Amino acid sequence: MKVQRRPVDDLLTRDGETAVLAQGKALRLSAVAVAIYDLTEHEIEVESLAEALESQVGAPADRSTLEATEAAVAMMVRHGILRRSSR
Amino acid sequence: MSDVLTLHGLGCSVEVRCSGDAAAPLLEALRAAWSRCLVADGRGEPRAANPVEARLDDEGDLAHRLMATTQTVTRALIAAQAGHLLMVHAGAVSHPLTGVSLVYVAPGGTGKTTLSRRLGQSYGYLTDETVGMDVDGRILPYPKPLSVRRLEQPGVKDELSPDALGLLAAPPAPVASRVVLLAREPAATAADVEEVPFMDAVFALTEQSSSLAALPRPLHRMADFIDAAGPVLRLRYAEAADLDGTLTALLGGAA
Repeated sequence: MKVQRRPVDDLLTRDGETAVLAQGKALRLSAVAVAIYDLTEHEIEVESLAEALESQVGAPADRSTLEATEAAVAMMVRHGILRRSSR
Repeated sequence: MSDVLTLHGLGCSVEVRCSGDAAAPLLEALRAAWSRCLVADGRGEPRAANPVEARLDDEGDLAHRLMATTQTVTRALIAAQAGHLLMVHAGAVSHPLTGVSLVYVAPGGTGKTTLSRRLGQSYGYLTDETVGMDVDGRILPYPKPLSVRRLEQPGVKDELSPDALGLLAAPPAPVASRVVLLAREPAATAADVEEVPFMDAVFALTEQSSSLAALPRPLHRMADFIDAAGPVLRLRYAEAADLDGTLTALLGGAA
């Protein structure tokens, strides 16, 4: 499964915090979500995304990096920030 | 007599087309309630909203029709300025000498109209509903009738002209200078003021905005507004009278 970011209305970063406006709604992005956004300019396999994330922000303490990545991706898909592709 | 009334607000004009068996009293009541927004023939704003239809057959329904027309006119003006103005659900007044303006942001039913009615006795009334600002923070006034809930019929609001209420007129160039988020808390014993962190302010104002996504780089436009008029303050209060001192100071002193 590949994912890629979708065009959003706007993205604002200030004082280490990031807000995104997607589908007319504003959402605060975590550091992990910002990293995912940055890494998904082009289509990328979720497994590759997880590896890249682990090298950037480290592994989560409570579950595997892949599980954490899939959860974050699901949230971002739900809010219209990412799209999935089965190609 | 024409059954069409042309109004202006938010830098737009809008035609209200009255029809029905009671069109004449409807037109008369609209003319009175919207006294601050009347446009003389040929003096419309450069941008025009889609016309609004207002039909009244039974004069007994006048209050409801006026209330509904206010909502429809507001929606039409907002739609016409989508992509042009930064618009937030807020009331605003302006210092008559300096143009310094206070924008008080709150959801419906939480005190904007009450505060507008009170502040408008001393400061220029800009709106009690929607504040629209251009890229320079200039407010395009929308001095609509104040929608005042009837005590005996909470579902009905009377549309009262700012002229009839004795509210001061807006100065020529009002600029959004201070922004507060209103938080009405009936149990509060005194007004409490706190500064809202920047990103929290972005979210709070975005939540109360209209057609924000239609603007180019909308979050940056909101951030520019907060930079210019911030820091945004949150005011917790029980009664409008509790805010007199705080708001007078924010407006740069007594008018």
